[in-house]
Amino acid sequence: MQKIRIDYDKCTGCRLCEVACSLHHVPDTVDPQRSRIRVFRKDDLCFPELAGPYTDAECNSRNIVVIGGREYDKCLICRASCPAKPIFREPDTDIPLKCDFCGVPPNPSCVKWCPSGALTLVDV
Amino acid sequence: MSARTNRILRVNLSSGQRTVEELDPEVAGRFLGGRGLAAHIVACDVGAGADPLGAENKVVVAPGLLTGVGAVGGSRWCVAAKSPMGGLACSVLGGHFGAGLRFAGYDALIIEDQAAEPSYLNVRDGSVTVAVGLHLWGRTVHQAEQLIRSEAGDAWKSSETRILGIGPAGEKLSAVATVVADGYGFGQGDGLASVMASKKLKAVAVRGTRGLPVADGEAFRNAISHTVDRVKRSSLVSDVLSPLGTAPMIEAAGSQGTLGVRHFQSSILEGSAALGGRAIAAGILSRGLGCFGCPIACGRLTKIPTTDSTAVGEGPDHAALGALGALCGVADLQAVTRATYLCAEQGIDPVSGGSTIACAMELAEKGLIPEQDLGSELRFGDAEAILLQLNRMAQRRRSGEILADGPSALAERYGQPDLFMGVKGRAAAPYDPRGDDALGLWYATANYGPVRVEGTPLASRLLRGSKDIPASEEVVSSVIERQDMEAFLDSLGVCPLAAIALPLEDTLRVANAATGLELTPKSARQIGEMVVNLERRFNLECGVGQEQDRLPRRWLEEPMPDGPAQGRVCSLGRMLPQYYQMRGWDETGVPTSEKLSELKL
Repeated sequence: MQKIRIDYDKCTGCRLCEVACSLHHVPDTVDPQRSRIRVFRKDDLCFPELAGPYTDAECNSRNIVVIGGREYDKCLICRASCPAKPIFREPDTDIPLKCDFCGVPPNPSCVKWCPSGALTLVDV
Repeated sequence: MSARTNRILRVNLSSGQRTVEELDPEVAGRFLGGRGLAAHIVACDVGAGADPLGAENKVVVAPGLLTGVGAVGGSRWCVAAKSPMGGLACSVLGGHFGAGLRFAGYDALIIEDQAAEPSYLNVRDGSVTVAVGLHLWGRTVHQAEQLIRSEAGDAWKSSETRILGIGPAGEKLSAVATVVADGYGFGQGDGLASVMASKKLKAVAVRGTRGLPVADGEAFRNAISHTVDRVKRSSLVSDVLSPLGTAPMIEAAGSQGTLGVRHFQSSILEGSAALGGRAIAAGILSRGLGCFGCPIACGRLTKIPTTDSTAVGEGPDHAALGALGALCGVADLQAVTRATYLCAEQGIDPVSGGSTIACAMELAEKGLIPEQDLGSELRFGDAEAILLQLNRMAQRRRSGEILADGPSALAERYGQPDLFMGVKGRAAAPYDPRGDDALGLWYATANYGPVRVEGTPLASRLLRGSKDIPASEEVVSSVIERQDMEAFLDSLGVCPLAAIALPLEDTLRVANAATGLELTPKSARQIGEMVVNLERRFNLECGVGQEQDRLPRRWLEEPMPDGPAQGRVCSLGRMLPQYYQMRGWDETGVPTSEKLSELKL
């Protein structure tokens, strides 16, 4: 089984992954809004996130998670396509987006174009 | 033509009126985007006699043609206006702002007139408002960004919002001020911040959620894959730019005798390895940062300890290392980094700020400036004094009131106009042209001033570690060729550093697949040449011409005292007439009517 491994320390925030993904899924178009991978940027944080399961309702409660001594809003690191977040859905139709590894067997475009090694395809 | 939105957003800050116009396909085909398009719009819309700080001036923002589609290095965008320093102000930046404007659906943004009160322009795709900015005025760049981002109402929307703004220095119309994008990308020291301030425009915030069409998706993907691979395999990228950023340019300049040290009184800085790429990587680097779509990621996100916590910021890049470090005789990385962060917060251009302080240091050293005017000691090598003066300059307090007017005014004020180390009123980047004739010719003739060196022959020599100096008869033609290509790349939206790592053919393949154009190296050069001539003509109409195609006396008459270029001066006098002639200009540096009609201007 293969997974996309994300090394947050290596991400440079260049968003080539967003370009790669949207070009793969949407013919002749570059559209980060339709990308199944998005990079969150704030201060020193570069956070690639892969679109995950769809939910039709947001959580009833909000959480803060502590990772490596830093606090993160759980909504931020949650992969769900959720009504509470503006990402991972088609802008015009609201149809949820979900990463599909760019096909079977996995051949993710984002991994191919990631220049820093932040995204790798690994066997687990 | 694909990759475009074909739309121009025009906003009048006084009436609040927003209109969307079609981008004339003929204009688009000729000027592409970015610098070419911005220069064209300024030249058409702003009269050469307009008061740069008056209502008739316009701020034009244009992403490069490829900006936003993810071409390698395709992140660049231009912000232009008539400059209070004379002629055209034209800053070219990278980062993510330009792509953001494209995703909002615009190929150019034209900001007209003046707001009655401090405002910021809020662009959310088709929803454009001239928003109240009273709460932003007086704030640092970062504070203003935080406030604007918090109005986005959501962490992701905030992350997607890109901001171009001015700091307190810009608000006060200081000559050393610059625009800052995305919190850390500096514009150049060309007066644009003052123009924004005169319009009471604190910032432009953009969040775009549209897509960009590419002409041939398959060919485009292949072309990008090819360029990404190429870049990854380039030793210039994997051994130099990615791990070390642009600091190697300063290190190489040090060993080639082209580093400006102590206000260009020397080319050797003791302990300069402390300002090198490895020192940054080992000491302060948090991560590399990439502009939109760029695999090189030469940006440096850095962290330094402060008295009670940690400060995070970007840089220092080569220009800041040179201007706030070497030029001021300082080889202390932490201090130069603190100074760079301060410049980003206050909206001060590191090159202009460093050049002003270095000029003051030389004046003080020679007893040419009364101590009470400076208020305290100011000696080369004194890092604390640099921070003190930068703070004062930001607020125009005490000695800052004098220094904030920049190095040209400073030198003039104390009767030492020859000590202004710049051209056309703009402070020069911290590289000494006595070590490189081509650089001297570039500094003297660049339409936008001596403020950027990434496109020069020197830059590619420094980064490639080559020590060959071109034969003197080739210097003039290579400068012209590189200036034209830089103008083309600035219009295409491709970073000149990426262009050093990537053959032009690869970039053109990406461009053609994205846009459906059929650009060739020849047509690319022609476009660049046209942009250079267009800018030259506008500059001439503004009274900036042959008189200002000159260099400070130090570089022409004082032999370099030390280092590998010891004994040399810059031979501008020999090169300049050749330059005019080879450009098809008359001997007074005016493009001939034949040249203009050949370029269809």
